[in-house]
Amino acid sequence: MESGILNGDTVVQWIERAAEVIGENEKTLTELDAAIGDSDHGANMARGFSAVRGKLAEHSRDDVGAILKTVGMTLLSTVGGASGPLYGTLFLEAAKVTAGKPEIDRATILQSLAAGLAGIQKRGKAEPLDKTLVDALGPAIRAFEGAEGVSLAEALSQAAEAARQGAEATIPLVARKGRASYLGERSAGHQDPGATSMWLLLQSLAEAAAE
Amino acid sequence: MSQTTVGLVLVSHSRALAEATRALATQMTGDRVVIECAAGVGEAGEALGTDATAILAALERAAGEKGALVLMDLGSALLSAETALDLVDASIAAKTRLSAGPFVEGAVAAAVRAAGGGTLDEVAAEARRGLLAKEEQLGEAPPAPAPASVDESTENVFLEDAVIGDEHGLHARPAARLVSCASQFDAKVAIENRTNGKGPRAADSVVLLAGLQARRGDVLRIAGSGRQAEAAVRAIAALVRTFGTTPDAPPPPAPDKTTNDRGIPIAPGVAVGPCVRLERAEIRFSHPFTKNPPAELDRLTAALDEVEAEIRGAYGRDDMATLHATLLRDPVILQTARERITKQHQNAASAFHEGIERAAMALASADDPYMRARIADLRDVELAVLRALGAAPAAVLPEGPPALLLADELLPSEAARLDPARVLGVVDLRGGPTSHAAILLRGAGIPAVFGAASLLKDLPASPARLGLDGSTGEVWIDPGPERTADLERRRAEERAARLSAAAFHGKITLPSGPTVELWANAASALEARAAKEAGAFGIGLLRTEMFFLDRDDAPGEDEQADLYAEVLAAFPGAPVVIRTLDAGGDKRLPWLHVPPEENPYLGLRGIRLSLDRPDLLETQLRAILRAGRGRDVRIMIPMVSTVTEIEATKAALARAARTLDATGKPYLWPVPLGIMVEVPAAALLADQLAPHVDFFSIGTNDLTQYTLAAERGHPKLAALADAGHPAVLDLVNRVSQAGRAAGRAVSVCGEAAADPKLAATFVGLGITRLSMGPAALARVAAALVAGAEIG
Repeated sequence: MESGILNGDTVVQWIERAAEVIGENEKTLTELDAAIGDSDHGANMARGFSAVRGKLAEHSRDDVGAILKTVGMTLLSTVGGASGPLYGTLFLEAAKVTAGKPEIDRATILQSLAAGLAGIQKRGKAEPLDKTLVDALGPAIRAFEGAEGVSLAEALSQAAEAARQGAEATIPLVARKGRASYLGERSAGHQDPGATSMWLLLQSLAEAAAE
Repeated sequence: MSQTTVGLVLVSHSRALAEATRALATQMTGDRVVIECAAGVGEAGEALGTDATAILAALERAAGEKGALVLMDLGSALLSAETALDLVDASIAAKTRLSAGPFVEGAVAAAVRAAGGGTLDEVAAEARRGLLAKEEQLGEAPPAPAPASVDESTENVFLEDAVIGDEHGLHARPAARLVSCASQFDAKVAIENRTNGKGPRAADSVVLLAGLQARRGDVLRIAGSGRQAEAAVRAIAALVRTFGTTPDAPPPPAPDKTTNDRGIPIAPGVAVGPCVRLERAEIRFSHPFTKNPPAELDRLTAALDEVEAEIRGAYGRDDMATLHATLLRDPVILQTARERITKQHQNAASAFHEGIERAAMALASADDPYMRARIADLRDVELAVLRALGAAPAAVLPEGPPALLLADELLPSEAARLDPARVLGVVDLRGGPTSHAAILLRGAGIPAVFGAASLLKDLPASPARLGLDGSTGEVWIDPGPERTADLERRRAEERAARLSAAAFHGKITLPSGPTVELWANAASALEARAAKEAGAFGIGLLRTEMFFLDRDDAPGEDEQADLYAEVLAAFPGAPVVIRTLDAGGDKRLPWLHVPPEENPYLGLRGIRLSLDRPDLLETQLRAILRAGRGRDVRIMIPMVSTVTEIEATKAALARAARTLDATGKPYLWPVPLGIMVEVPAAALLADQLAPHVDFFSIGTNDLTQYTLAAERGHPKLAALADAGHPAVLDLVNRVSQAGRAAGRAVSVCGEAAADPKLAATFVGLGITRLSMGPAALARVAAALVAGAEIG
């Protein structure tokens, strides 16, 4: 669906796609987490998104905010690790922006992502370069904002690419938040699993929007 | 419940950690504080992680009128808790605090403060201080809390000293009561430990008070200022003095499924496996009347005969069988039962039941705990008779693989029927070390732990797996894989050791050098034959009184001689030690007509009784001498405490020989004479007694009860029925040394010789002759050969 808006169906497709991609990459995410954390990120995210997928199967599609809220609440209660409240907050904040809207345009999408980022930063007290999912989401939002004169799908694709680069850029960083921060200098040299899953989430969004 | 205290929410990645922390806190506070766990993720919280929505729900349950404090472990716990606070109703959020306090220590400190009626701020402050006691103990204290002091500028300052009586000092529960007491007054109170100089500390914090490190006997100075200073100080001083003297309403202990507290070790050996409960069907007397009383009388008689035969068959001719057979024919019971049948037309079962009830009531009102303990035997006899009458189903072991049996006071008749192939071990909720069931289990070689009620009160209703160590009294509920593997390995080793000991013939040579003779204790010819089969070196103790328990008249010389000869026939050429009548104490022989004594254990028993009845003694001695002709018989006298008793017995022996000479009957002469060492006096003077005797045999049961002044059948003194007590071992050592110095053999013939660990200890003390129940021989031999305990 090549248009300037996302409707409820597309949002559900996005989340379903994200669930698939995260499921496919569960092992990779876990391996990344094993290097610097408690090796549960892949399993946690897969468990959460699989639960979300179940919740959305029969969900009504006429309110994007309601869909995102369901996603957020479900992630809160099923992910388990810090990604639960963080991703949960992302979706809940986005849900506030989109509440009652059957479809959302670029401006609303940007506003949702920004609100989500703000919520995550408030919740996790993370700054850029702390080696967290902020390092993927932040560049993605800036890329999306700056992608003028291109379609929504292209803009989201550029955002996803920025997220990928942001995630890769976490490799040399020393973790300052979360379980990885216990490792101090030893956390350097590994890509942050949270930033990686954030990239996968945004990549899924770009793909859903392109279909 | 209405929540009048601050509630707690424990947020952890681990359900187990949160539950365990809650258990620790509940141990201090009982159920006065609502403590909710929000821990783990997944359907049953089985995965590690936190769940903001679960925290939200927990907050709604925990936050009463005074609010709730949230303690968190690490990482996402904090994020999820904050998320929950964002989501929860604003009225609850307003009275919720997230605590940076340490999870475990903070939770316990907060719970205690909350139980004491603290406000949310006070509870939160207490949680933050959770590490203080630990830091002080380890010398890592942050700057000490500002010393509390009373406001001396006001006129109303009051002081009082109080000594703390609680044996645990000012531990958390009394401290919480103290804080709660102080909070009721309009006064500023500080407490100083005058004994160790700690403090003063403000009396508003359990954690701060813990810093006083007040132990029993310490003097606490309570100082107060403010409007109600005097009342507050007086109240607190009075409270401090009551600690340890008034029951401190113990809160229900926390559930602990993996408890490894100890019960009473009953029969050695380890076991692990599924748990089955011994099911006893309830007895109902649905049609208690009969139209044909004479037929019911006949049925009763037949049932009594049947049960008597059963008792004899099941547990031989030991004192328990005798007791049960005696109870079976007790005139009180039978008279009641017969009257109920003939006059009230009750059927045999209900009539016998009433007879038993009447006897049980009489026993229950007895002053003597030993007599009261016999109620279990009465019930056992009742069950057996009712079974024979078809009125009570037999206790059943569920079919299935070999299992550990969980029983609530195993009856002797049940213990006698346990098949060691199906019953791996027994955990009995009640029962003590001297119960008849215990003796039977030891004999059968079934590992057992008794008195386990406190360990198992939280046992899940559905059958669990159990593990036990019958040597230490440890019981494990649902043992983990490692524990199970360990127990299975040890059981396999025990079995292997038993097999390798199967070829044992009376003597074993230990890895450490000495050769140990294993003899058997016996109370009948049947047991003597069993002892022979089990490879006993000889009979180390023939309990002659057991032959004559259930009769009305004194046994004659010929009768005795025949009985002894039957025993001796089982051990041709091997030594047999015949003990003269050891009546008295718990073994009352009706035909002796000994007047009731206040303290039968300290009364006319053993050799004292025999010397008091010279005819009785000489008749027995003549019978032994006659039966012993051509045999290796030795005579042993019980309860000796003086040389005079030994010399008097020798005189009686000489008279017996002269009498036999006069009648021309052939007899054994000379005959070795030895003594039981079971009175501490005999042990202490063993070196002086040695020249007068040919051998010593230490009776550990009585020696232990006399040394520790603890009657061995006493249900509450099981812990003192310990032949391994240092005082007892010291006496054993004296006897051993005296015997060696004088060239007199020393043996141990008490129950303790059947305990492989103690047996090894005795060997270590130089005793190389052990006498025990035939069933224990192989096991003890194996344990000694394995040598694990010999050092």
